[in-house]
Amino acid sequence: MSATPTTEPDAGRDRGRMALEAFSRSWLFVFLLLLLAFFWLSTPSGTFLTSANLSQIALSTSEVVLLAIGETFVIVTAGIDLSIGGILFFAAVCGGKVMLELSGTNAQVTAGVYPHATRAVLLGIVVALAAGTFWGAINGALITRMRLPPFIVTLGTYGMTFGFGDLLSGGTYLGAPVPTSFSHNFGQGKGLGIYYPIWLALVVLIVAHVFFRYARFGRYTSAIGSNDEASRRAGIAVDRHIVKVYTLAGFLAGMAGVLDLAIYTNTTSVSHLTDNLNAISAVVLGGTSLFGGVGTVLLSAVGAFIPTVLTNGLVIKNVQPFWQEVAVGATIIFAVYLDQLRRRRGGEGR
Amino acid sequence: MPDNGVILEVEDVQKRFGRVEALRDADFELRNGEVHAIVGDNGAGKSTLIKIISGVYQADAGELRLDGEPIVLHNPREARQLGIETVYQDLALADDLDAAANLFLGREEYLPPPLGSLGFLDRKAMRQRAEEEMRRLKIGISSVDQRVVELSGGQRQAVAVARAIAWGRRIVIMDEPTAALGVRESAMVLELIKEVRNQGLAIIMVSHNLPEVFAVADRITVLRIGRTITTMATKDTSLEAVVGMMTGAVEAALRAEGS
Amino acid sequence: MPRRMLFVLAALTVGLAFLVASASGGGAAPSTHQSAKKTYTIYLVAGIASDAFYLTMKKGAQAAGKKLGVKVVFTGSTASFSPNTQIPFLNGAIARHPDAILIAPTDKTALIAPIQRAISAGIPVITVDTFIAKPIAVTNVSTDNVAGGKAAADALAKAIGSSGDVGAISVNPGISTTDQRAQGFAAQLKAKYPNINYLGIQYCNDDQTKASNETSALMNGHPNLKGIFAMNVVSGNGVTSAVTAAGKSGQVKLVEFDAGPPQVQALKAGTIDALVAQYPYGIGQLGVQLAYKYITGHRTGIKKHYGTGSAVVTKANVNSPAIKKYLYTP
Repeated sequence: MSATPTTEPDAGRDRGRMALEAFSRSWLFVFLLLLLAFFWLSTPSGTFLTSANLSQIALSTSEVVLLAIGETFVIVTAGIDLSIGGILFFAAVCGGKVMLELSGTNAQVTAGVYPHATRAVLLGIVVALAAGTFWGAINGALITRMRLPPFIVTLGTYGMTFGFGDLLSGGTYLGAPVPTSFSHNFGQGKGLGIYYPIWLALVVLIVAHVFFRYARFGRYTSAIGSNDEASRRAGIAVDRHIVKVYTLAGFLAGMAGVLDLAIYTNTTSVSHLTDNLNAISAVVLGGTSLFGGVGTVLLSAVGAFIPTVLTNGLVIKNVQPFWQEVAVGATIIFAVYLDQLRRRRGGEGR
Repeated sequence: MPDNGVILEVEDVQKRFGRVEALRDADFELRNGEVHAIVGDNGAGKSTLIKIISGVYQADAGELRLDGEPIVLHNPREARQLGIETVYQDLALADDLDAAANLFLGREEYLPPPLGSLGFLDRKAMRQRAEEEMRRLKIGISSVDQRVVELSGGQRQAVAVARAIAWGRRIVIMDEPTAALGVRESAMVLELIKEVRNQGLAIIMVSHNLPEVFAVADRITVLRIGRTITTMATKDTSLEAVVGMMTGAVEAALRAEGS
Repeated sequence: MPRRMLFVLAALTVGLAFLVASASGGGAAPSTHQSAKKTYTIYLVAGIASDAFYLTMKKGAQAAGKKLGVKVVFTGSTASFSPNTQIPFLNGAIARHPDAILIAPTDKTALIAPIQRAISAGIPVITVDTFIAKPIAVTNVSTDNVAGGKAAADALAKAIGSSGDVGAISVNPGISTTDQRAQGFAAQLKAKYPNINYLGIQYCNDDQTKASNETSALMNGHPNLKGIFAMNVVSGNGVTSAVTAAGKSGQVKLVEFDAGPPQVQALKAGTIDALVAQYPYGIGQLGVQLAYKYITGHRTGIKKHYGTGSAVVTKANVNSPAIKKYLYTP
């Protein structure tokens, strides 16, 4: 500290810090590659590392990728959003109900006939996105207007979204699958050999990454998470920005709800109870600090792949997938330790 | 020789918080190109006075004049728009952002449309300008890309000061600029303050550290229990005299003499 | 964390119920009134009142009630299958003091205390569809899940021609119903189908995304995979999605437990090859008949457990009247 004889940090420590920084940015990617290599080498050829299997892994990960993108922005503001899985479910129920109501009579729909599918699906998508956005805005408003901690607010809306969603759906799957053309042409359909939901997640990911790194939106997000008072004094409309960030997370959860309907043709609350933890794990694995200020959107997406790759590979290896939970848990602890280490080193200069 | 006209006048300002009278009758006058120290014991009203000047608090009574024109500041943003910048005691930097980003926080420069209209930042331009600013102020940091959290205390203070100077067109207010710093780093910041003065800005500096005040200030205003006791040129007074005025000993002596 | 919170809430609810139960003393003996009554009232507390399975059970119960001159009141949460949403409905039923209560307990242990409270208040309780860990109910009427698992094995074997690899997806270990289905399925494959290579169970934690991912892994890891048994509806939806997305509909045969409207539609569309339908109508019917027997004094000869059958539904027989009664209708 003040005892340090020079104002310039000495070169050796600087180099060590840069190496740590570089390592903490790249290890997850390397870890994912090692995992892929491990499963590739330890399973019969033509099983794990095939385009069919990899694209199905990506399809299974697409919803969590969308959730993790929103969660990254939230966590970088030093907040947390526990409600995104509930928002996903609520949005999917609303969208799915609209799709079923508008695509035909009850009897037609139950028999698998959807005379007005296109119109119904489009409107259902809009409703789902709007529902997600609405809950995101509610989160943001409660956090900023009522000055409540994000953990409490989103824990509350976690319960509310699941509760309202279950009330609407009756606590079970919707009475019929949403129009099959939706899953056929979009959720399970392919463009250039890749499932459309993966394209969608990829495009959103790149756009979000670019805005996070190169635009005002990302810079303000980091600034607020780093020091909200400083941001306020610098003239940033902090509250308004926080509302925007939670609204974005809600919107993306709504989009993930649309994917849920598209891929699985139906939705149910039990499938989404731990989506929030999956998204938060992905973000933390990606090196985003739970203390706010620092994060990388792209790496959150990489983090989202770790559990799905593990599950898939372990099933192929005929190992009980409970090991997946063990492995993910250990990896998360390692990721957070790395973040702490980086912060401690960073603070040395003070 | 810089223009030494009066830039800011504070007249008969009063401020109370509930039952506490923080300022009873504060007067203050700032000239172009001077470092003007405000000193006083705890509770003298120094912080309240500078917060009124920087727009954080609004005075209950009295008048502020900038270049002779009365002004009313509702918030810090309005003060900044008039060219009054503040370096807060607790720094107010976003630690996880780099020095350049901090320098431009809330005042980012954007790329030309259409990208700029979407909020895309002109990082190159901001970086260059940040480097120029650091050079101009002789702040030795290895790179403006370095995150602030990785800088030393003095360097961090320098970044905060650089931000105020870069944007302060008229007045820079510094609240205890060396309070958290070691000896070497304090010296560095004091050099910086002189550098800024030489470039023609007016500086208000609040400090507990009288030797430092005597090292850099051109004039000193002494506050005691919410009142301005006096303003004098540093060269016409002594450390002992100022301490006497801060504690009230001199006043008591004068009063005894008068009666 | 949220799960733990749910648990705490459930525990609190149970605790409160205990308090109320002990406060009311449980001493009121209403049996003297019963002889004066002309019509009996029986409450049926569902697992989820909006689910087609329980709605079908209600129909069976009401049909039996009509024959016997018993009023059947159907109740339950329309939000979720969980103790903390179900217990208030059970408490409501107890407060009305019916002659008997039929309940599908949503948890093996959390429902023991509330059910005990009903029994202490002099109301006989019969568990239907699911059961509790303490033998305090008059009897239990539920699907013979071991037999259901065996039926699933037969159906899957028939669909794939009795040879090849087969996998299974379930919720989590430790759930009585799915564990019994798994047990029956494995036993039947071992006993009757030596050419089928059973790959064992993958658990999906009731997450359709995970079920789908596991199905992909099974398909890609075992090129000789011929069929999958999905042991509940959520697993089934994940399996179906993975198979259709991979374009392997028809190549990988699917057998799924339960026959609600979405499953029947998938069966008709050909994405599912067979459904093992429970017989909720029969469960409701038998439950009411046994309750009537008990409250009218014919208490001897009632067994502790009655297993109701299940039916294998295929595209070929789905429209036949004999099978139709097994399909769940809201």
